[in-house]
Amino acid sequence: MKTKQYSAKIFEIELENEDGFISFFDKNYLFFQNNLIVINGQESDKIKNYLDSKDLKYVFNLDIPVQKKQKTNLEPIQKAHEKKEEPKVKPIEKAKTNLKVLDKLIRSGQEVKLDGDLLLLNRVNSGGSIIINGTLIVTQIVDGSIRCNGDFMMLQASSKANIVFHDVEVDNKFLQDKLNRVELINNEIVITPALKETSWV
Amino acid sequence: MFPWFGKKSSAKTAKDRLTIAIMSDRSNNSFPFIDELKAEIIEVVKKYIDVKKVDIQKETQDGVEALSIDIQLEK
Amino acid sequence: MGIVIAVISGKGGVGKTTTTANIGLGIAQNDKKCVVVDFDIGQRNLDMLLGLENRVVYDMVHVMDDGIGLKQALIKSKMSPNLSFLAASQTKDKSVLDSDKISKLVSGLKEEFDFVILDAPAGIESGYEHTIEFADRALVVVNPEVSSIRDSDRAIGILDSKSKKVKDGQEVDKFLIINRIDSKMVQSGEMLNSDDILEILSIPLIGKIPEDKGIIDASNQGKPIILDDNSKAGQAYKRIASRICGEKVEFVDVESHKESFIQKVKGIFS
Repeated sequence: MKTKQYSAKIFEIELENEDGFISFFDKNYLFFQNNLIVINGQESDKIKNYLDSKDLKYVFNLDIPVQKKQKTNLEPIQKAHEKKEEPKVKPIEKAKTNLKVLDKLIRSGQEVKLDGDLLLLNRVNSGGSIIINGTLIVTQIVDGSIRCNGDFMMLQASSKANIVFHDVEVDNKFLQDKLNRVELINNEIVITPALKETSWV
Repeated sequence: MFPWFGKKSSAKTAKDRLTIAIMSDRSNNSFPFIDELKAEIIEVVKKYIDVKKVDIQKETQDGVEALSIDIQLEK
Repeated sequence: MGIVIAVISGKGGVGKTTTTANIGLGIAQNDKKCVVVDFDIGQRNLDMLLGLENRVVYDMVHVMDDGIGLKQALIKSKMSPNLSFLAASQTKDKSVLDSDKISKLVSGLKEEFDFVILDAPAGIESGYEHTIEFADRALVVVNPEVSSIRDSDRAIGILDSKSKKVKDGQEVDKFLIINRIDSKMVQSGEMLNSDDILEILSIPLIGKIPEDKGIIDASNQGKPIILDDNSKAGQAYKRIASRICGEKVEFVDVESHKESFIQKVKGIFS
């Protein structure tokens, strides 16, 4: 019996309303051409035909055996002015005594390893890396690699970057164009964009 | 104005200079294996006694080419 | 006391040695005493670019190890009385590079010259580390191309952690030279522009050098292109040399592409 085992990228989405679903994929279908789309909701021919026409692979209501799933709010992909409500950006609570503030460009080959929280006021070049056990905030673009196991991280990553949050590789597509907040909620990775104009104290 | 008129080909000059330079490099380096030889000698001698440094020089005396090997021992 | 400038790049083939030769000559033409040193052990290149390959008798190892005096080993260039040259050794044995001996060599050169320019080897191995160890300043040469920029970033990172100045709590002043800029490609968006490069590398710019076919011709003949008044690359090198000597020189735009009518006509026939 011929068998094959390999990993695939899965994108999971709740089907709330068909038009919303279609309008979302109209804008983003190119991103998911290499994904298996798992749709939680009522099976619908309209959706099936639509996805077939875009040559996307999908399955309905499949319980995927993975520990952590990546989920984004639909809203982040849309432009900021289309949002109905302002996204919540929680202020940085309590000034932790182990917050390290670094104003240094992380160059290729350099590694910042920290057991604590880090505020980096500079960029991370391709080939540079940050490995951190606490909260991470990077104010300029990340081209390099990030491994973070903290409560949350805020960063803007380019297509070159390699971002891993709690051992899960975060898809760069969701982190481009603006500063994004990445956190673990109920065992899922949730990515929310921060407001475009973020004023730093 | 018309750079393709009358410009002597510098490629010929380059070829001449390179020929001379490379011949000179080759004659100076008649033992290209010297670095590897040094490393291996150090390894062999180390088996018996501690070695600090190995120096290999090419010597020419009365037309005879020889390699002199100096082994500095670790005190 | 002279200033020691290391010319570095990370990636090979981007124009370090060409830059060393031209800037060395440019500084000499600015009436400053300058020595250029080939630190690419086992691979002599600087001598050929200066047309001095047939005058090398003693190299830096002879000076460091065999008791040959600096004055005997240094070769005076016929192109300028202010320019001298010290050749690389021909052995590829890295043990010839000893920090104490290099320190002595560099100190000796600093006493005789206003500027000591060290042509670093490509890569980030021990040869490179030894070259940057006693540098006061560094010229970082990049091409507007991703691997060159990334390798330079790496080289800068190492410079910022391994040079003696840094270990003494100071910083080595680094300056960027963007070499082989093709204005057509920058205009069409096929080539990174200097702003992008400066953003990533984050060091001050000291010069932009346009792509120039005359460079090959110059090295064929052993005559650095700075001697060609008509060459745009040569003019760029002249500006950089002046800046190094302390002059304030305006940056010339080498990135916008303005095709003259003659060039368009030539384009049809080539």
